[in-house]
Amino acid sequence: MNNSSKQFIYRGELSGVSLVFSFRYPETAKYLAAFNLIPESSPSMDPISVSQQEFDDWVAAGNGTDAFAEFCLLCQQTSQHLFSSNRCVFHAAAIRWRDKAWLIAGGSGVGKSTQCRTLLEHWPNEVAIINGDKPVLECRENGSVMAYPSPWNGKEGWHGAEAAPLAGIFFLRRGEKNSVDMISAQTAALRAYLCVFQDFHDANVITQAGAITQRILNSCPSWLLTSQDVPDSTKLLYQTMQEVCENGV
Amino acid sequence: MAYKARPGFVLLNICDAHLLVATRPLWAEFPRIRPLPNAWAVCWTLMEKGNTDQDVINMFMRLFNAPEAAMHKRFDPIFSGLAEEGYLIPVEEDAP
Repeated sequence: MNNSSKQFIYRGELSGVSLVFSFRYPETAKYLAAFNLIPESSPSMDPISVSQQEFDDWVAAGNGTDAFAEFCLLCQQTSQHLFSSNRCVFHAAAIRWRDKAWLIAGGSGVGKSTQCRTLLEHWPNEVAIINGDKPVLECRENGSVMAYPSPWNGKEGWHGAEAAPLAGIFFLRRGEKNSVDMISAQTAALRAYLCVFQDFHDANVITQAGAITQRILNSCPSWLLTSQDVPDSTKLLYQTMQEVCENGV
Repeated sequence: MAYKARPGFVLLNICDAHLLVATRPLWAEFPRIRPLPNAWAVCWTLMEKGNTDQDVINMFMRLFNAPEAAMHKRFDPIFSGLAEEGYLIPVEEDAP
């Protein structure tokens, strides 16, 4: 445990927004290195940092406290900070296909990475990953949503594709069959809301997350993708994307 | 027994889905999010403004020009449901 009160200040850019981070551990900066962090002697704006309470909760859950922990915990604070810029960090894999972004959303362990891996194996020249676990989504004034890379790539570290406009969201679940069903924004609301990173402490933040969720759902269609196995469920996902691109929703 | 809304929840309407969200301190006792049917959400909205269940019944009597017994029959199951799950607390419990 680092008990030093010294903080390490860096400025960086995420989805076109300039952010200032205050780290407890200098090594935390390496996890965000791809976002051109520049050290600052003092914060030029309200910095994003992890509170002692968050570290304490993290330790109470059986985790260690180190630079990687700080990097992980910064995710929800960064997401909340981005709310005021109509952005959030969203728990999903963001793939790029035919110049559009498609999200595969679902809780940890449900199979997002398996779907991505299968897409990359079967359509290596068509599919690229914008972010494997937690892209930044921007809700634009014209009602569209852009999906951007973020430092939180997941354990596979998948990233590299450029930002793209969001075309659809697949909410993934495991099941006894393979199926894909379009669902209404109302039906998708609970699942989508749980994907928006926040700490759930403040009523205003909870409300802001709700407003962003609504804008995301109103921007594109959603499907419930039930997967018993790959590649069959992945083929359903691919066919659905193809239908949308060729015939519309 | 009169009930009022327990503090610490935020009711959201996302694309016509009503989601009652628990703030983090309440996660040990409540699910993070409790989806609510429309009528439940209306009752909660009125009660989180400080009205008791009887206040809400009185409002509905005026709104629908309906007898009190009919309003109790229609809405008491909602109040009971919310109370059983802990979202409503007895007014007396909070009195000094």
